Amino acid sequence: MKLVEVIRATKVDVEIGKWETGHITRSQFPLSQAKNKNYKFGPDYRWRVVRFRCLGHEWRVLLLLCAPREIFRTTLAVEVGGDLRVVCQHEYHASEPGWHCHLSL
Amino acid sequence: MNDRQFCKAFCDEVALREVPLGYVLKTPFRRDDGDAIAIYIRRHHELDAFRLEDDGQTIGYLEAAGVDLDADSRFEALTDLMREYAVHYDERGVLLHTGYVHEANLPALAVKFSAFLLRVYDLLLLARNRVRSTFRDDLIAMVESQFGASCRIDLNVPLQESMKDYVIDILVRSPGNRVLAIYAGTSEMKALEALLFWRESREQKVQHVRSMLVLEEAKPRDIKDRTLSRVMNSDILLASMDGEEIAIRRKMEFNLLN
Repeated sequence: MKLVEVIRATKVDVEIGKWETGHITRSQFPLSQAKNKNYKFGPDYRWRVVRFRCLGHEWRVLLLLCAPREIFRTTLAVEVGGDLRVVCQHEYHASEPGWHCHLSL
Repeated sequence: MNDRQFCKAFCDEVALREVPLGYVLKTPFRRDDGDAIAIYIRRHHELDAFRLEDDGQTIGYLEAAGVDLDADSRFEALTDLMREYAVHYDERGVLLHTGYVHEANLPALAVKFSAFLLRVYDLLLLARNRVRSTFRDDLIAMVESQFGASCRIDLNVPLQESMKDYVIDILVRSPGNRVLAIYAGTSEMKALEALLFWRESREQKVQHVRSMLVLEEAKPRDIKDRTLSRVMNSDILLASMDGEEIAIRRKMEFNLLN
């Protein structure tokens, strides 16, 4: 499966979570290698999770925003056997020249 | 050779930009995801002083990568580093930061804080699950190189429908339908899984399978002595990877093909 196919595919059952502040509960974005109940973020950080289905898989996108530091990141992950596998991260932060993407190959 | 060339190499990538909180300083050092390590500069207006902060993600990043800062010696390593570099941890803000200093002292402090952040990222190298993952991958590669041409190899599958809750790390089936169920002994949980599988096989009178637990080292830190004794006293084949690869290959082959 190519990333571009995921981007172009029709998404169904789209659920857009509310903006929250601070720690991200692991159940919202379960990565088995993380040991703690929460992903720790301070009150400067806001986040929300979007869920959808496409190409026969369940997907989640984690949006993370820290306005005081000008950091924005979206993380795309696919559900595999109750765990999430991160596919890519698309982000902007003021310490890098512009928008860029990290791929998990 | 002159010092300007070195100076240029260190400084070319350094950049300072304004952000709502104050400033962000891009350092010439990079994290393992390729992004530059950034330092944020927060101004205290009343004191007319500044402090340096991380991006508020360092601790979360380490924990998400498997470093368990709450439970073990890695927390000690972090607090030792914080003491050495006079850095504080704001638990509520999830921030690593220095004390406030006057503007003239900021550049020298930034060099020190960069060194601190680099060393904190080195804690990732101590992440146990990273070591475990390498060990498991090495074990899979070894089994595939040994039996890939002659046997069927499946990863993370049960032996049969009646044992579907018992997922085996590496399942090797010989052409004569003998099976080796291999568990990578990376944790107490894995050793217990191997024991449970062995007991269930005995219960269901499965004759054609041998269970095997392969440890990374002969004295595993993460498996309790009592559990290891139970494994030794069972029919589970026990092996240790530390320098004994050829012997393990022989042991696997003997139990699978004879």
